[in-house]
Amino acid sequence: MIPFLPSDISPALLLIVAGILAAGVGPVARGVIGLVAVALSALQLYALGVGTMEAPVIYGDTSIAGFEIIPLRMDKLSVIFATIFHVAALINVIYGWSHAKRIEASMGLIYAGSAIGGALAGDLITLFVYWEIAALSSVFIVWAGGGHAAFKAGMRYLVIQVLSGLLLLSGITVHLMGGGSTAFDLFQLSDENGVDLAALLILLAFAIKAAFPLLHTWLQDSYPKATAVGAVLLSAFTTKLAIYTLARGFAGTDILIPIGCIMTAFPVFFALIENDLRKVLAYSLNNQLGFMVCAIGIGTPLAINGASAHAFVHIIYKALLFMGMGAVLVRVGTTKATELGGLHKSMPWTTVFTIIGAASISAFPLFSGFVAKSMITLAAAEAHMLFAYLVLLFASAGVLEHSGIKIPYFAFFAHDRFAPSNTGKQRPEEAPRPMLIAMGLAAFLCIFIGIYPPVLYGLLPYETDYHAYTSEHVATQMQLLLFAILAFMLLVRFKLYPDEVRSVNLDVDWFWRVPGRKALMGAVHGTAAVWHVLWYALQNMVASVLRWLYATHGPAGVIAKNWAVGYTALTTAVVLAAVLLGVLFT
Amino acid sequence: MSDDAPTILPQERSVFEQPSTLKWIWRGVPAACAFFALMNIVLAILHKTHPHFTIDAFPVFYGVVGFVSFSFIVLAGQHLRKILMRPEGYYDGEEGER
Repeated sequence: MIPFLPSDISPALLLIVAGILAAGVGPVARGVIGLVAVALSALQLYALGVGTMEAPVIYGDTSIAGFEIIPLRMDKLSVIFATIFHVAALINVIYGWSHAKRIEASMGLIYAGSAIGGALAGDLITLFVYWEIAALSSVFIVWAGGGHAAFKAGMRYLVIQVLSGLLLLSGITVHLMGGGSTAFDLFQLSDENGVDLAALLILLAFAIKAAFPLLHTWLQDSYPKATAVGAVLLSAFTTKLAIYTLARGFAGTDILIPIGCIMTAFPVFFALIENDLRKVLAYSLNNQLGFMVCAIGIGTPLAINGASAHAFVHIIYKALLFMGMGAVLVRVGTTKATELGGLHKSMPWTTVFTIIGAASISAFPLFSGFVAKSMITLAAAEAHMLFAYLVLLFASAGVLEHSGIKIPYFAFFAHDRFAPSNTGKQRPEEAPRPMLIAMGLAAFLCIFIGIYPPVLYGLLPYETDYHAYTSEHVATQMQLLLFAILAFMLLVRFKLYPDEVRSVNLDVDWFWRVPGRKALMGAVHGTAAVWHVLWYALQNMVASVLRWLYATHGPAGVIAKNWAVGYTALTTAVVLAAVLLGVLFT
Repeated sequence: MSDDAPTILPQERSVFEQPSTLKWIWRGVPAACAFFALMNIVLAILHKTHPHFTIDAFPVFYGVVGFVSFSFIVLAGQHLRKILMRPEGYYDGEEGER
């Protein structure tokens, strides 16, 4: 308990208030506020305690307009996500210590707070509020990337995130009108009566933020356009909050298994041909989410543990990889593979940390990915889902390709493009110290969890006696990875590995960015043309009425003519006579 | 790999670019592959493996999956460029290039 705060205050509010305060102070104070806020928030999370999945601890239960609101629901599923969001927030504060822009430092804390608030929300209305705060705060981080391209990507991001919010609100409304409670628990997507509309709308809202196939492009579009600091912030929260909500609301929903399989597999190909290494990481993020979605679809306690464990370790090593590429961006000014290479000579620490991230995401034994991802593949095997199992293995080889090898190889090794004898300049410097500290912390966690997994397993939603380090598991995983590395070496040796090419690769967002935009602009111009026609017709009509009035009432009109005195007297007499006659006969 | 690789002076080479290191890697990786494949075979003979399907009972199944998957991704994936690749600035013009 924190002495000067109410005992049941949400950790999310602490971070959100800190984010608002950080907007008004200088760079060092922003960092201090961030550190203090994350520490207080983590203390508060710890003080609130954690219940079991069956009997969560609840705080602040109240009723507003007849709807039950549960701002804090502490069970092992919500707390593991809230915990890792705190770790991510801490890493981000340190990483951005000297390089975060004001808006990034401020919105970053609000964004982290909203993700924590969303994870701890026990009811749908509270979830919706934090869902929207996450969308609105994060778009500023995209915009902070600077330039018109980042602004436009931010607008696309915002439209899609708001669409997710609208779908969630619609789903909640339909759910409540159908007699459902506000409590955020498991939904049944379909039963004997068919598909439940409320559950479908809510699933779609989650699907957008979890970057399901065809709904995914906002991620690859926006994250690489953020700054070095911004991309690390973005990589942690939105998608993993969506993974949490899926695990809470749709565990065991069968359709998620094939969706997860597609999600793990297709980004592998896009990552191969992509030149911008931060965009490669964005595709890699998509692929990792696929593992989690697949596990949530399987839905067994082992699978949900696997999804939670994977989300936990993934946030750390994905942040580490984005930090490594962010450091390269800061020092070199680009993360395009065609312009990088040989950086290990002048950025050795960044190289080592990035390789630790790469080894973790590739699930090498002794690194964090190994102790988490294997729970998901085992869950698929135990459920005898051969196809899903094979796809997950295939995707594991894919992860090694784009995140395990491509990222470190092209950035730090491959062709030395910074040799002073060629450039006539000094090599790029090592990353700034705060960035190195943040990367070091993340790298330490990757290895610590890898060699001592009980620290992670103790946080998992369900009791587990899972042991990652069996001789069989080590042998099979090392075979998969080493034979894949051998394939890489042979492909390079025989010049079958594709060159990096300066290019843009199309994804499904092409449909709305090119033909969709043309259709929209066509509709805009068409509407404008119709409006012009109507407007001119109206103007003509008004003009002809005015002309007619002018003809009759104008200076030369019949009505405006000067009347002679005698004629006027005669008219007056006629009118008087008519009145008199009228009075006489009534 | 790209052939536009810049040539650098011998003294600018790091240990990772020395031919002796590359030779070591070319020996080490296949040896490690063989070691873990052998380990898996031994475990299978001793009945210490727990296959869940028929296919993964084959001792070097994971090695084959790793090698074939990786090769397929690289060899097939690069052809996607024929459909998807556009010049830089396709969407946002020059100002989109960062």
